[in-house]
Amino acid sequence: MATQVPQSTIDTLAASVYEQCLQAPTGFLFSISQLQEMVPGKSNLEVTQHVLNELLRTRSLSAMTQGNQTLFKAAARDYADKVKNMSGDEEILYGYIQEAAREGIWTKTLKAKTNMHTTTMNKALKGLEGKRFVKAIKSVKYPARKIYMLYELTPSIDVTGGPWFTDAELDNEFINELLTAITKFITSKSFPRIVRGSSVASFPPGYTGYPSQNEIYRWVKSSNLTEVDLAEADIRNLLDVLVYDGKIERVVGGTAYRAVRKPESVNGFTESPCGRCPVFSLCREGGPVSASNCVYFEDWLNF
Amino acid sequence: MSQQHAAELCALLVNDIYGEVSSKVVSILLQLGRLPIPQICSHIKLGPKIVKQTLVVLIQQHLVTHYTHSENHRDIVYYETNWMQIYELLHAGRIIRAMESRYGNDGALVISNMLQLGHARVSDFLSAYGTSTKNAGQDAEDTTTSVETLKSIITEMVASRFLIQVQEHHMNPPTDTINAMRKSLTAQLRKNFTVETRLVKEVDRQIAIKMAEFADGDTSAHAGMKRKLATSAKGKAKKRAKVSMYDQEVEEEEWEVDEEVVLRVNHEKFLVLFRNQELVSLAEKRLGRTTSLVYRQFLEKLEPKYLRCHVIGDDDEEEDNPKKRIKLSVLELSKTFDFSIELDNSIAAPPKEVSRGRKRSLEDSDDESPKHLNGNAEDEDEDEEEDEWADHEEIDDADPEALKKKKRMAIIKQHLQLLAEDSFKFLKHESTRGMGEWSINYKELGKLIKQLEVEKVVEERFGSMGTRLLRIVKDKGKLDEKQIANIALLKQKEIRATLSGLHEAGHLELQEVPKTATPQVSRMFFLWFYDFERAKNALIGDVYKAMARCIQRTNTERDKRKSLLEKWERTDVQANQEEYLTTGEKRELEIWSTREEKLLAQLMRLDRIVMVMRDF
Repeated sequence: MATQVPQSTIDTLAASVYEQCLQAPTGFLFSISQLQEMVPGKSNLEVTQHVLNELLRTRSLSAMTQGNQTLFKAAARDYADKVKNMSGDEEILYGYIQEAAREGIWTKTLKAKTNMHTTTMNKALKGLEGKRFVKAIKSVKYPARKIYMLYELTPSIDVTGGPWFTDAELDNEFINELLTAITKFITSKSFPRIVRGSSVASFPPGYTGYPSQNEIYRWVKSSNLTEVDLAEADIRNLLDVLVYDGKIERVVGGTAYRAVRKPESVNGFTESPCGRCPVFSLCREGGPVSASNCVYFEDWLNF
Repeated sequence: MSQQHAAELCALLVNDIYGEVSSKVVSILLQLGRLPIPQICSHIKLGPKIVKQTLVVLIQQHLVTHYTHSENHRDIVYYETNWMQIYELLHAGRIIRAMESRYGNDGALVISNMLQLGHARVSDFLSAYGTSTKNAGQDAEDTTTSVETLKSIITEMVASRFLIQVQEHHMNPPTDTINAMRKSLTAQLRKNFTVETRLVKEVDRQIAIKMAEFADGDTSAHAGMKRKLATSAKGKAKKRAKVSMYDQEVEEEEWEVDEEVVLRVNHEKFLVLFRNQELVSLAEKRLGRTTSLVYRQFLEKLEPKYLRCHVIGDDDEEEDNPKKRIKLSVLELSKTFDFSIELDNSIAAPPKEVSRGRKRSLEDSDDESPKHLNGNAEDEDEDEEEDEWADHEEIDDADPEALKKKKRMAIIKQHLQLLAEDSFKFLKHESTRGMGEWSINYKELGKLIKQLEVEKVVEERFGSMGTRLLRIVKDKGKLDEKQIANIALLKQKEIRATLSGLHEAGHLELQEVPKTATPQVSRMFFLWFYDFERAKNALIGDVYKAMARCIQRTNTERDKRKSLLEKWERTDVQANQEEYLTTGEKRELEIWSTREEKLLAQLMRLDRIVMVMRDF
């Protein structure tokens, strides 16, 4: 064979070819002849071969076939940088995980697609996780599944369940705190300020100064209540819940919200022992539970 | 279930007031429906004499109705209980209190005696009352004036339909009344119709009209009254001026109750009264005290026009007809508006009104609050009305009295607007006549307060999560667990227990919808839904049961201290309590009285729920 081309030359050549490839639009497919032209000292087949091999080895190019023609595609630089240091298994897995993007991919699906043995796959996944290329996430829909996603991506709303979820768990505390804060805000805008012990007053009829959904949204945004990025639709959800709780009501044709003076929950039924009696359905005169031997009544009467 | 508990409750009530035999008779009639005397006797194993005596009492009280059927040429009398009437026994206290606040002590006396008697002829009642004051000496006034006072009070009660004349159909079960009517009408109309179905339709129509007439009774202004003798008119007018600070229309002076008429208490009318009270207290909680006072005045003004809580017949039609709605304008209201209600202060006091003015000025660029405070100017269309009003009353604007009046009316109007604007729709705006006219949609308000009552119970039983879930399901229709969880922003696991609790208590219903032809639990949708009628009935049933338990417990408590109470009731012990009762006994008596009070109060509060849920 002719003189061995030194590795260093090939490296420089490969780098320059790769550089040229990146100039092309992403996803552009290069044929061998096109690549050959990029290599200086044209039609040096041997050099081209080395260069291509080098590029394929470093995953800067990937080979594919179209019909019976072999074509090459340039990979993004960061991808190439990462994949360079991966084992074959890792690389395959990484490809699938990348494909799944923000939805993530379930280990079982990965296994089916790659046809790998579980131990091999787990080892490879562990390697990837260790290098901070991928991460395991939890899905709201399938809390039991182990799902992988590229490390740098944020899971989509389908997976996380939206702003109300923290680690795929509904964050009650967060929600309740927001609810309380919003109620306070609306209440402050719903009644005239009470001065010097006057009776509780109302705004005059036709008053339209009650806060609208948008105002509430802007208030939440500006108040530094939370770092979670809430959309106006999320605020709407919260307001709906408050309406269902009977704490606020829609006014001015449903466009604004007003706090409701909640009638205190006095109720003759639930305050009597029977209203909260766990064995109420069993209770009858002459039965094992009856008014005459009722312990709840005794407690209640002694209270 | 609800019927069973109602029957239990009724038997207990009758037992409390009329004794064991009455209670037995009532409960057998409740269990088995209508019965003739021999069968009642055989069922309760008592002789016909005592049964007959009992029935007389019960009929006198309108607790039992009777009807004579002719079967095989023999007349058989059937007896049937009127359980709603038995339930009304519980309202005695409320009724007396309402009448006391309206007509004073004498009013309370009249109504409590009427309640005790069931029904009575006016003349008999008057003579009995005369003697009773003599004997007991409860009244400082001498007997003759008392009778006069009493008569005028009865007249007023008849005029406002708190008392009504007893009619024959009050004594018969409504079914029999209808059957008899149908029989006679069919015979009467048969020759006019050839097609049977048309005949039936016409008969039904006429029956409906007649029954409505029966139910309303004589609604003319002077029903059950007669023109008063001119000679006594003078003395009475004096008396009236002293006794009654309410309506003293000259015209009515000439009428007094006909002494030959037999009167009874009209429970339906009292329910209207209680419903108004309930609405006023709701308004107070929601809109504050002053507004609720205005609301009370409004409701009281319209009260004579409502005979009962529900319109008989197809009330949907009624609702849609705006002409039939009962309306009241600010102008009319202000004429009788109670001057002791401090509206002036409410508008002059800086806290409320200033804040109003300020808020308004934020809203409207042209600030009208200073003018508004003077009561001089309103919006443009209101100006027109005021002109109309001024023309009508021919009032000089410079007159300070008129100005004050005008200002007052403006405030009243504002309060009414507030009531109408509230999402509870306490009032419905009708027109701008007479500074604005409003009506009350009792049907919707009734639904609303029932719903609120259900929600209160749910809130107490299941916490705020319960109400949230209930209201979501009510609002959205049929939903599965996951959707509910999403809307409520709660975890599915968390709501599951509450949902099934709500289901168990009868507040929510569950429907299974199989996904496949063969129903399998795993392939099934479970949809939650809310059925108001069912939820309502379940709750009423529970409340009846709780009421029965309250009474039973009272009886138990009484039985526990039987000997002590018997001792205490002895007249010699009553006279010398210090001497005859030991410290322990006194303490025990105290415990008993607080317990009884507590149980009775609870009973009344439960009764309030039943009224709200069933009657309003």
